Amino acid sequence: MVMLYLYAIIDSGEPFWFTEQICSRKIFNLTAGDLGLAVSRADGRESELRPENILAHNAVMEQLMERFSVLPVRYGTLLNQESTGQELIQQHGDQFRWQLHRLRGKVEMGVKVLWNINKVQSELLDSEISRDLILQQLGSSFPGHRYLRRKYLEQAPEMHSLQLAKQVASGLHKPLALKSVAAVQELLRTPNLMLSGAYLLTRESVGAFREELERLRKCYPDYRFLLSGPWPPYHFVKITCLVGSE
Amino acid sequence: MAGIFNTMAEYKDVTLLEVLDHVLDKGVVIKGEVIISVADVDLIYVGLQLLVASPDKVFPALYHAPD
Repeated sequence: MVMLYLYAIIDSGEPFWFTEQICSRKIFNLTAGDLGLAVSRADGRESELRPENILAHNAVMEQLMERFSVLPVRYGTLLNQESTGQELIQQHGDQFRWQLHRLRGKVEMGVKVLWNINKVQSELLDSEISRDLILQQLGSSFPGHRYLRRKYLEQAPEMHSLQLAKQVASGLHKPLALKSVAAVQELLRTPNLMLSGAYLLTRESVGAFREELERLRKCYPDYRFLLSGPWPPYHFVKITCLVGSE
Repeated sequence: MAGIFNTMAEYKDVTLLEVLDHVLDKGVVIKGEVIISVADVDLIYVGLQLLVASPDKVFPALYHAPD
């Protein structure tokens, strides 16, 4: 069965095609009025989570971004036939147009900040939590109180890490968010991944954003920084569409 | 992508993970009986000697502070 692998919704109703270089997929525009669906013919294997498929998907998105405003579609989405794509645009075209208008000329930059969690938690002895624990030890010897102190001690490293992450992230995320149209952050996705941030920028402000990050990097020499992008606005498109019945 | 990398292999591993982190489970979600989607999956990348799973499993969110 020949299906269509869907990469993105774009703001163009003009036909085009190009060949992506990693898996040699022929990408074309399935048009409906002023909108288009960037697709390639597929047999289902394109959705498998393999490195070449993932990188091919990303390569297509990068090429599309150079020419169009894009609404990136979740990886692995297959349409069973062309008429499904037409139906998708008919049913949700207004929402797509509004989002494309909102995101026109904008890209996403990703920032990840890593720290050494073992070093952070070894600093527990100097922290406020540690001082609280010492004060508690001077107190009651009731079994209930001892149980609570023990539970507090078990949770203290995580509490300390989160407290410090909030403090440091505030110093990093806020200035970057000020350089952005929109921003989201997530703390401690893994113990060593202190901050994961996504920032929506105009293309013209990417340079200033990089400079700001470089300035911040020098202020936090004990942390490692990973800057990625420009990406399509993955974190800033939240649309769920139903086509046909679920 | 800019950062501090020790080896080229590390750079490639980070590149793939960064792409995964962006494309998987993000973007427009389209549902319907005529749509076939990849559900959240676990995957072992034997070639890269990495264990990669859906980000929700690899990176459990302990805290989220949207702006």
